Amino acid sequence: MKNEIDVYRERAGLSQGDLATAVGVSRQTINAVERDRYDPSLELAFKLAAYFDCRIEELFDPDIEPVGE
Amino acid sequence: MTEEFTAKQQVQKREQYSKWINRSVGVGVVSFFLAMTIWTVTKEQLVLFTGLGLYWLGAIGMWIGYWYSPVSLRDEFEQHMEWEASQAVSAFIAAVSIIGIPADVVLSTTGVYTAPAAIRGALWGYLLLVFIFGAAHWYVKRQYE
Repeated sequence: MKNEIDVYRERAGLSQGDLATAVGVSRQTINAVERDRYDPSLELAFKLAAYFDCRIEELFDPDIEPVGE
Repeated sequence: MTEEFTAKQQVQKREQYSKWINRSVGVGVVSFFLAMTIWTVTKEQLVLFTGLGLYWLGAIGMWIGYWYSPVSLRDEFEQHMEWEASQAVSAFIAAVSIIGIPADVVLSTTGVYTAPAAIRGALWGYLLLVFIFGAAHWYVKRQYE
C-alpha cells in the first residue's frame, strides 16, 4: 500500500527509529511500511495518523476500486 | 497482560524482556556445550546432567520471560515475518507428506524400495505434524466462533 509516512516523518525531523519508538514498534517495521513492503495493522495505522495528527487517508493510499453502488 | 503502556514503554519493555530471555537461553546453551566439552575430558556423567539441568533452567527462564512479559515480545511486522516463514515450513511439510508417504507405502509394500529408517521416520513424523496442525487450526477456529 502506497503511503506518505516518510514525507510526514521527514517533515517532522524524525528518524525511522524515533518514529518507531513513538508508536511502539521496531525501526524495521517503519522501514518496511515506508518501502511498501508491509501493510501495517489498523492499530498501527491509527497510531501513525494520531501521531502526525492527520487522517489515515492522508497517510495511506489503498489504491482500491470504490465500493458501493 | 492488561497493563497499559505508552508506545515508548512498550518498546522498552520489549527490549528489556528480550534481553533477559536471550541471556537466559544463552547461559543455558553455553552451559550445555561447556558441560559436554568438560565431559569429553572427565567422562563424569554428573557434569553432563548438570549441563542438561542448566540448559533446562535457561529454557524455563525463556518461558517465564515470554509468559510474564507485559507486552508482546515481537511487534506486528516481526509476527508477520514469522507467519510467512511458518507458511513456508507448512507448505514444505505438506508437500513432502503428500508426495512422500504414498510413495513410501507403495514402494515398501511392493518391495521395490524401502527407504532408510531415518527417512521413513521423518516422513511419518511430518504426517503427525500435519495432524497436529489440523488440531491446532480447529482449536484456533473455535476461538473465533
